[in-house]
Amino acid sequence: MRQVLEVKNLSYSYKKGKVILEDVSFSIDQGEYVCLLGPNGVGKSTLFKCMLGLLPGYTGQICLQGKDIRTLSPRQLARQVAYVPQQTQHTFSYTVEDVVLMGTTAGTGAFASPGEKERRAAWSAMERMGVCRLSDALFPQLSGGEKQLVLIARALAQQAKLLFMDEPTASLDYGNQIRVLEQISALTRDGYTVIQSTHNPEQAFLYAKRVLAVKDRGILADGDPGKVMTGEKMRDLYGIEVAVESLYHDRVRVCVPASRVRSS
Amino acid sequence: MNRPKTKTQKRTGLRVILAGMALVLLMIMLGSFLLGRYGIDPGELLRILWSRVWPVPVSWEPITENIVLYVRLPRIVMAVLVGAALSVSGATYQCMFRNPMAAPDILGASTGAAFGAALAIVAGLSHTAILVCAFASSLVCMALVMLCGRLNRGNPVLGLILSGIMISSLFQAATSYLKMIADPNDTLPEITYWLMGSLSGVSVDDFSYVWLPFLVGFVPLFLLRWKLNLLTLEEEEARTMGVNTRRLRAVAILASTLLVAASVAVSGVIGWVGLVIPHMARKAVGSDGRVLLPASAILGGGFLLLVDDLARTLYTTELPLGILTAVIGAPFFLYLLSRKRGW
Repeated sequence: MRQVLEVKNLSYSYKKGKVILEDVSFSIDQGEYVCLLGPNGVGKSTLFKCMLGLLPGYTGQICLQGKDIRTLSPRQLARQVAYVPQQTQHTFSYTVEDVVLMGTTAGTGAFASPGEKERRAAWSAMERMGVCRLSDALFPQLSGGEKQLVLIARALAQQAKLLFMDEPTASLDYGNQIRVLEQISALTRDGYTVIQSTHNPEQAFLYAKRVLAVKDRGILADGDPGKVMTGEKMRDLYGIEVAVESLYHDRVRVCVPASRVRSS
Repeated sequence: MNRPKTKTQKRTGLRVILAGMALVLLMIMLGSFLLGRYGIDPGELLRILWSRVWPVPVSWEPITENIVLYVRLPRIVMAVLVGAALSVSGATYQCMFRNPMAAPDILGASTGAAFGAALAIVAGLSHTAILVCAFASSLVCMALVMLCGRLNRGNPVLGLILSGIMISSLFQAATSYLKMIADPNDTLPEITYWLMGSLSGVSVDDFSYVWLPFLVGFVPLFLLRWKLNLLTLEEEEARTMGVNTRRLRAVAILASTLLVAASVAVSGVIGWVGLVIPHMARKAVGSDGRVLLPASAILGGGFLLLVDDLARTLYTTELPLGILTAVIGAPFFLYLLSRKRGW
């Protein structure tokens, strides 16, 4: 498989001297679905921001398709990596179509408005995420799940093949979580590479082919969720006792807080 | 494949709305020629205007032509330009500060410009110098407001407004001081009347120095009207989409502040237009800058022209524009404050 992202000896510390990431290295191949796990405040967002070129003050190297991102302009970078934020508060109400169209900006000139080509890209992205029927709806009035699908469509309209998603299922109900994850999973089958952060380890078991667990400024575990996500690792990661059980002949794994299992 | 068609229909709908607005503006402009103490026959008006484009046998009094071309025409065009400039800069400020309450007069851009212009008037400088002073002082005022607005991290929307009020009052105090030391026989009345906003002194000559700032202000904003949408997103979100937010913000603020400064230099402080009109435009055509900016320009031009018509016909003496726009604007601001739903 072709390598799309390589992070070499990445370290990042904020000005006050607090070290967030230290000597982190990993690489990601095309089409991988990677879940980024880790407790709050461990540096998952910092890692995303470094890889998106938003925090230039890191040491080490981040390469996209073999090119150091420091040598890429913001627009070149935007054509390779797209970011799906957690649900953000938008001040003004735009229609879904306009929100998705905003994703095409990296491909147009400095003074240009989106034209026919950009509109087609936006519509095919909306088609892909199944949100065409919402095109005229106002974004703030959508449900949480619909908003997430629209934001993913916007990232697709950006024409980047590597997608970073910051807790795409946070604040979604169970049905919408599964709907969104199924869509993301389908994207990786079509050649998109997805790195998503999540606080729910079961999502990693269900959908990801690989898990990256971040703790104590570095990577605690990296690999197939079924292999690396043991009860022991979960305890190291979250600081609580966790029992990992398999169901349906190991087709599904679940995490249960050990305190619940023992008390019964 | 019927979906992109609905899109085209929607865009056509918006274009029709814009064209309708432009038509109404044109009607208001023509109607405004007929208002005033010197009566003008509509047919004669059209013939006089047409004579500037195509040679027509002269069938009217020379005084009528003079009033149409040298008294009413400059005033009408300037009212439309100033109204459009204030509204477009208001719409731009709203986008770039992600703040529905942002407007030239609320953020202090107008007050800053007024101080600079008053300073130049007291010093007896030329029109061009008044404009340059207004622009420089307006930029300083905006910079201070933005700096102080950052102090309130909890509620940036309110923080920006409050710091705007604070810095504005500082500049107002400085302007009051200028009024105190101004010559009560000539400069003081000039400053006082002009601070309330008026187009009564507009003549053809004024265009010789304001056309350039209006052009330099309007053109980049209209070219960037799609990109302004991206400034309404979170800073980092926009940057991951390949937008150079810092440069875009700088161009937007320079261009819109130039529009405010030029307006203030020519017509004094006219409040509320920059707040009220962009919201009316938002209601009519939505938030997309591609239609919001043209709609704001047309509505703002029409609105200020109507207000100016009122100002010169309501009483025998002219009313200051700022008084009229405040009567309309202040209740509207209260309505905005009480709103809970999205913009």
